[in-house]
Amino acid sequence: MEPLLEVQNLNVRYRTRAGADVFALTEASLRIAPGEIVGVLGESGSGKSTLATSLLAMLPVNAAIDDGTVLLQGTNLLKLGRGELTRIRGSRISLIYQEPSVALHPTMRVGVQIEEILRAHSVDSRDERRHKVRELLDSIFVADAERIYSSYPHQLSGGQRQRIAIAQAIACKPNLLIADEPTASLDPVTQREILELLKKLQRERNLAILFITHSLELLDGFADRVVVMYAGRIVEDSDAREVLSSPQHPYTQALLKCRPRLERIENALSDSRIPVIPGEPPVLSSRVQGCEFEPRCPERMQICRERVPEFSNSENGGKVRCFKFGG
Amino acid sequence: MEVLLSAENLVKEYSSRHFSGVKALVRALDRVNLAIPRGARIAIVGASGSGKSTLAVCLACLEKPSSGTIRFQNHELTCLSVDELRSIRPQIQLVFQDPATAFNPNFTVLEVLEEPWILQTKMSAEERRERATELLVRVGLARNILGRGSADLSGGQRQRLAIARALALKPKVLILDEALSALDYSVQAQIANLLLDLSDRAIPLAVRPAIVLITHDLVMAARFADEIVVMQSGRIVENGPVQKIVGNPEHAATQALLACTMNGAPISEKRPAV
Repeated sequence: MEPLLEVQNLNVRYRTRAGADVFALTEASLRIAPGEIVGVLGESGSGKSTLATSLLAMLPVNAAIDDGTVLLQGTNLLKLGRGELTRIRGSRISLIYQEPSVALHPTMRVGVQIEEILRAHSVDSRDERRHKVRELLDSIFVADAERIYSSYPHQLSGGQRQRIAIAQAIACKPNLLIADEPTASLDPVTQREILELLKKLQRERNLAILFITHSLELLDGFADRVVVMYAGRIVEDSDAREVLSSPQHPYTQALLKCRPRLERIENALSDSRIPVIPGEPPVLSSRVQGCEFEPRCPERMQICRERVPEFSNSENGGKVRCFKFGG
Repeated sequence: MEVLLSAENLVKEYSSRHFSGVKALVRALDRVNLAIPRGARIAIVGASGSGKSTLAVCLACLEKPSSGTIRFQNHELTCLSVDELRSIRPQIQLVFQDPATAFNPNFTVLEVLEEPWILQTKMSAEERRERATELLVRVGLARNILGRGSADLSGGQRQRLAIARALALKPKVLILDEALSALDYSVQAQIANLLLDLSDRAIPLAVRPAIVLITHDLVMAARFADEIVVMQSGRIVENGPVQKIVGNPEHAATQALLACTMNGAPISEKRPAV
């Protein structure tokens, strides 16, 4: 299938105030099909948010893109001017963040804030805008859409505010929604509700979603495909079920092990400890010669220190960046 | 087992003033009864707004409850004077969610750790330095970071430092309010292990702190604690041993939390009942 979005060999580096470089994203390649939910799993500093913001060409000023392309249905977003980007943002790609209370204007009624997006994308009639927002709120909230329309952000709960942010993001019917940890500040019950809403939007509108998270259980049953990131690189890219049930890359395996599972709690009662990944992730201010995970890897070999592995096909049909599979 | 810290009929009300001038009372804790035995591992779980954090600050004597009593050993904390509380507070320590805002960013690691001793003891500077090094080792940090700025540490290192500071005065109860939630899973596992180490059953009861883990993460709660307390709308709705809460939950709030955290549970169109 023709991909909706194709990222090829993207390299992003930040220049710190001290003049040093931080290599936040290295050789990232990714394809998203129309209507596909792709989960990006990674820990702090793995480059997942840099990946998200570079897809919208919204990197901060101290960032430099050294190489790479971001093709949205064939158009390279990194080569577009500001005016063209403004037209694409919101109407073809949208972004929602972790903290909806920061994303919303505190003294504007939320309904009007959604209408603003429509106005920016030239829905000129006020009645038409209002009508569209009402329809949107009806589809996003189970009840009370009328009251919510004229509420201020502080009168809404965290989950409701995130729904408003989602309404803003999809108001102009984009094909791709980038969600950067959208449920991290919510409690588990609300988290599930937001995931269900996103799933519903994906089904009804054939909306592709790039869902960035550090929480692997959120992806279970939600994402179609999972991309695992470590130290600025994509290390595994596979079917979601495969990644979560039989991870291939040693990092993914270690990461899954250090998250307890409710099913196994019974055996854990014996005062045992949780498996951990020894050591800490590398500082990305210099490029290491070999695989970034090598110092912490239980299965490291001589070659891992010498060069970075290329992607190989794993047994479960995915791609893994590890010498165990060829490299 | 001997009960160390307990709450009886604890009520905490906050008044919230609406901008239209109407004053409303919010009951954050509603007749809460809880007993924390010496050296226990307890987890308090619940959705946002269920009163978990209010309970934490009340137990740590940072907020005065509206009514009800808190007992610590032989003292009734709710009727002690400020001076008397000063001698009790070191024994009940609180660690917060966000390690980034827990310290004065200008403080070095040593300054962070020695502050409790400066305020509460007459320890000499050398002794403080020595004890600080011991604490660092105990929480798994390198000895040579004493001179580093607290702001230069990673999230996991800071949370270790926060726990080290909480341990400085040898508390009998350590309360962690969402202290794992902001951390990556691999770091959460390390900190959870640290908490398991601190409350290891091999440590004699007299010196083993009771640990209260407040979280909305039922998975980590079940892995860490012996007993789980479930809260909803300011009340404790269910409590019991982990196997009972996870294996045979009775209250709808527990069942909803469990349904949301079950690994691999398919996402249905139906909203979980809360």
